Amino acid sequence: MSFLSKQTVLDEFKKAKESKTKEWRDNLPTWCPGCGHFTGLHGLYEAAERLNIPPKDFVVVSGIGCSGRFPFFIKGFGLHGLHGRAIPIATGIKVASPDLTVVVVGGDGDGVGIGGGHFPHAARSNFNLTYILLDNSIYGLTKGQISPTSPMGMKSGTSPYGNIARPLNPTTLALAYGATFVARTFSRERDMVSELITKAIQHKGFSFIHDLSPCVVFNKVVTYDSVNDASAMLPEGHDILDRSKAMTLAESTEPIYQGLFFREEVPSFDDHAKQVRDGLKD
Amino acid sequence: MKYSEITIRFCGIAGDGIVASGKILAGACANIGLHVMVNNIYSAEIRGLGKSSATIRFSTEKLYSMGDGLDLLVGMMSKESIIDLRDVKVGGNVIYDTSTIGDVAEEDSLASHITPEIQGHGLPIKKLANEATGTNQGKNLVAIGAICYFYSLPPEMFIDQIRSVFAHKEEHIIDINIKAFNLGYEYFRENYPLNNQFEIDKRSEPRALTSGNDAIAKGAIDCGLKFFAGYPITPATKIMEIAAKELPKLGGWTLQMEDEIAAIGAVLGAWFAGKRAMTATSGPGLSLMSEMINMSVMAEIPTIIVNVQRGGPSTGLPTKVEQGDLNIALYGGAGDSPRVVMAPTNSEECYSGIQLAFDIAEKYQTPVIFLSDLFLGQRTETVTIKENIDRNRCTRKKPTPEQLENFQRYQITDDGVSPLIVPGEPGAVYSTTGLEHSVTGNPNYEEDVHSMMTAKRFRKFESMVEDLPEADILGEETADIGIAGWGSTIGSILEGMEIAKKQGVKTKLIKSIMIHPQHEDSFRKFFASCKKIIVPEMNYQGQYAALLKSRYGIKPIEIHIPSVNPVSPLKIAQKIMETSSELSQ
Amino acid sequence: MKHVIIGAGVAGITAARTIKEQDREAEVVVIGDELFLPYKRYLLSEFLSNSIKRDELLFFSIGMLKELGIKLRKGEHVKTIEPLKKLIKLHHNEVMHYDKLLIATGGSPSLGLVLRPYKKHISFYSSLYDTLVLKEKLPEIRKCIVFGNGVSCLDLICMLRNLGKQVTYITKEEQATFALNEYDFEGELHTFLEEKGIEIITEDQIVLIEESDNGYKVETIQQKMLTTDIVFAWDYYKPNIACIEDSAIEKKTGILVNVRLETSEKDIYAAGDCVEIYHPCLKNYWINFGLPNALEQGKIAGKNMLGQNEEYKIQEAIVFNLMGKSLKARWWK
Repeated sequence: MSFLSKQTVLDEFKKAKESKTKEWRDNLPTWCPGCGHFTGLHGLYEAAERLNIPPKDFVVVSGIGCSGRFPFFIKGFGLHGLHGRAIPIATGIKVASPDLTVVVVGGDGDGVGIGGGHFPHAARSNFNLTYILLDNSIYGLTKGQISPTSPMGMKSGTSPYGNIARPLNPTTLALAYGATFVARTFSRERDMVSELITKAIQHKGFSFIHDLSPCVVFNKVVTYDSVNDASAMLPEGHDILDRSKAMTLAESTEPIYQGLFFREEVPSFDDHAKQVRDGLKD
Repeated sequence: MKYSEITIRFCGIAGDGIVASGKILAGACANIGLHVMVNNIYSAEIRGLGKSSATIRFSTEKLYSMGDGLDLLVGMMSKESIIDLRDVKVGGNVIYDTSTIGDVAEEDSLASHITPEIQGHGLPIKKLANEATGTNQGKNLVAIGAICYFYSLPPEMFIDQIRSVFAHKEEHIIDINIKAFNLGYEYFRENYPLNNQFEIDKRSEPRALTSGNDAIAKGAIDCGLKFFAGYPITPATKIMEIAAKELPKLGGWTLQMEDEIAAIGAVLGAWFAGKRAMTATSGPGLSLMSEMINMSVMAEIPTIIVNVQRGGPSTGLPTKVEQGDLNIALYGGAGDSPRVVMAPTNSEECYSGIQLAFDIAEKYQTPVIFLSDLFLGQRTETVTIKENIDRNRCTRKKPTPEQLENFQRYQITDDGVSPLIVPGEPGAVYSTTGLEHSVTGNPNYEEDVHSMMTAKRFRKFESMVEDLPEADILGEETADIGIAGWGSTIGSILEGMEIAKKQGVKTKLIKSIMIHPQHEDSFRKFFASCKKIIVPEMNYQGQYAALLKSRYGIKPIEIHIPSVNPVSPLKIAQKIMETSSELSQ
Repeated sequence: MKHVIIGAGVAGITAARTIKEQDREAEVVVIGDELFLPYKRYLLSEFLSNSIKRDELLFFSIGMLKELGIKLRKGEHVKTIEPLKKLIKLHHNEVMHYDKLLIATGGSPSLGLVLRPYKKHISFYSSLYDTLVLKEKLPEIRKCIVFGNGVSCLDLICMLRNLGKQVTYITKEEQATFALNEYDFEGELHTFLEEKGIEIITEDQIVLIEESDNGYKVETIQQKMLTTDIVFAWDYYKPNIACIEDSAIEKKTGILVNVRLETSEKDIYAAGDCVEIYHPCLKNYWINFGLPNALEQGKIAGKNMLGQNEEYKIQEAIVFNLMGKSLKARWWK
């Protein structure tokens, strides 16, 4: 994808303020021109519009990082929390007020680095949250250090001799953690992102979107081109109820599959909690 | 001997029914209107056979502490009880089991360590329990039976208690337990007919028993707690267990999170969503929560953290008491980070205090750290709980229609408190952040904004003083020796003052559940009226003394007890006597 | 060297003291079955009749124990002795090693077959504990029956009478002699007691005791039916030697010892009211009750346990006071 100038981006967003999603648009994004996160944000606007979520009932919770600024760009309640801690905060909001739509947005460092301990528990508890992990395989806000999803050998300010550790794969982690909705998207594919975010929010339970969202400024290894070259849609006829098959496909790096890997309809945390409470009334 | 106050300790291992012994004895005494305080001590190592002890103090007078020393030690297990002999008073007594199976080496025998100043009494505990129940169960009741005779307590008080404790069991279970009790009673009547007299006032009304942890949980639930998130940690877990059981019945919920950071994060989330929420932890957990406390300060999201202090630093002494977390509570965290710190001094204050904590947190949009401690949290005591607390004394500041129009979440106000709306409420939306922000909540790092916002956050602590209780001043107004204390140490101080009073030395005490902020004038006035000020506390550094020194410019005599056990009233009395003789020189 | 002494009476404590005074390094453990610090048993009646205070009974204080380094264990008794392993086992199954052992368990009043079933109706008065129990009861008591023998029986009767109680003394003998056969004013004693207002029933004994509304009903072999508030009774005074029952230590009524107070087993000594000493002149064993014997034997046992070689000389007589009259007696052969 070609570089967009900052002016082009802002113009586009100003235009969009008059669009059908204007009700959910707030401050103008502060990201670098060409940042993949624009697509994720756009997807969230679209989903909110399609599902007609009133801003007063819409809560976006983020951690720290480039993705952390999401709440300020969306009209709704927002909580820009601590680095890695968006999931537990969102959990508290959702469990305390189950009628709200709560979306967690975070980056790769936030979600599987510093906050890596929270992700599995939110997934296995099947809290009714949507978690969008915008993966750029770099610490962008601190100007380019390796992240938990950076490929081996990648050089950066903090890995001058190359990254020694192997990258984590957030899609397979989500599958292993027992998430009941797991999708991977690529920020070049606007429609796919909007579509899957919408489905994720509709899903009853913990829905996870691994959005490959390259950093156009600091990441010279994982780029739009590198991701694009490896991209492929999930095979036709993939059984979204087959977790182990989903796992195999998610592990693949050549190609990097995108689409809905897995979805299962089981009682969410809210359903279980309601059942317990109802049982206590008797 | 005639007694109006007795302290008994049961000592043994898992399966000896140690905690149950304490419960039955305490319950029976409370039922006949005695004042009771129970302190259970568990070893941190579980091992299935870990040592545990229950100390029960009962009296015809109000109790403030566990006092000094034991009148009776019941050693259900020989070796495990030896170390507890040092706590037995001169002239005190020991009951030991004479029916253990297998040989006991001299060095492992409890009896062999009993010095002539105290008196051992053999009781075939295991044998009589087996005779009554066919198993080792009922050992504790055999011992209680013997105690009942030994102090001439009315057997009915125990029989009634056994019936109520085992009420959910079959009649047969009740019968064999009563039989175990009777066998212990009869054995002592036959073998140690000379007994002691405990004076009971037959007109007393039954009293309620609670622990600090219970009182905090109950207080929170009674003032609208809807969400609890926590991570199990000794000695705070009991609060979470109560919340887990009770909240779903009230439409709320308790989450066991993956760590303390997640716990406090979820609590912040719940408050953000407008629900009363809290977490309870101990030192290591509070350390982990520091960053989230900062978030609470910066984003002005209310939060309640109960910290049941244990010995530290680090993992420290999980089953021992210390008051070492005052500094982290007051100062732990980055930046200029004001927070409310409260410390209840007894179970009654645990109940009423946690309610005040909620009200203050909600009205002033601030974190409140509620510092209990292991001793206060786990001990059981007879209390009178005031349940008629004004529910409307403090409420959330909601925006006016005009304010909603152009909603400024962090509007600058005189009292520092800005209007607050919660998700789901119509009229406006906002985003909050742990970044410095403008009045709307948008990130902003300008110098003027930062100084204005910092001042606003601190201003709340000046304005909230009007909603806080005045400090309590107890003792003799004209005394030259003043004592300032906090938390559960207050109980020992009060009894230490009583001991000194009997020796003719007058003292007075200033105490407040509020550590920060305080009604400073009353403290200043109090300190000005003292010739000597004593500040006893259970930590090495003198953390409260340091606060008072910097805040009021006093030079107190500090008693630092990096304690593993509740402070001895005698120790405080000794310091008072010393101070008094220095004054008179 | 670990010296274990069973019995914290005069003999045992005297032995302990002797050992520690001569050898500070020796380890001395005294095991007493009473709950109290060592006291002067012979003053119990004075204490009971309030002529002395409780602390005047004290024979050995905590301070003295500490100063000498004697470890006293109160309220405990020994179940068995294993001379071969040099071990003793206490009532609560504690096992203790000794290098030298002294048995000084004393003697106590005992009941024969006839009286044994009525044990719980019978009061004793041979220990401080009994005395404390009795002292609580005494103010309520008006009528007493005493059945027994020996100087302590006489002592009891006198004490009760001095306290103004109505006393009936029952004896198997033709006269109230208290087995004081060699005392200075034989024959006068019976009359003396009767003059003091004591009812004496001779050639009779208790066969039945029953609880009644306000006290006890007592029946004698002569079919006398008596009522009383309290019954004191014992058939004989007996060495306490239960702890050696299962051991090889030689005994008759008491533990047999030679004049060096050695028992039949190596490193085991015995002293005081629990022993029968071989009398070289009589060429027989005999029991020696009483305080002077206990003091003397304790001292000798202690020395011999330290490896010395002292012999016990028979004490000839003791002197005690009977209602203002001095009585010299050597009793209990």
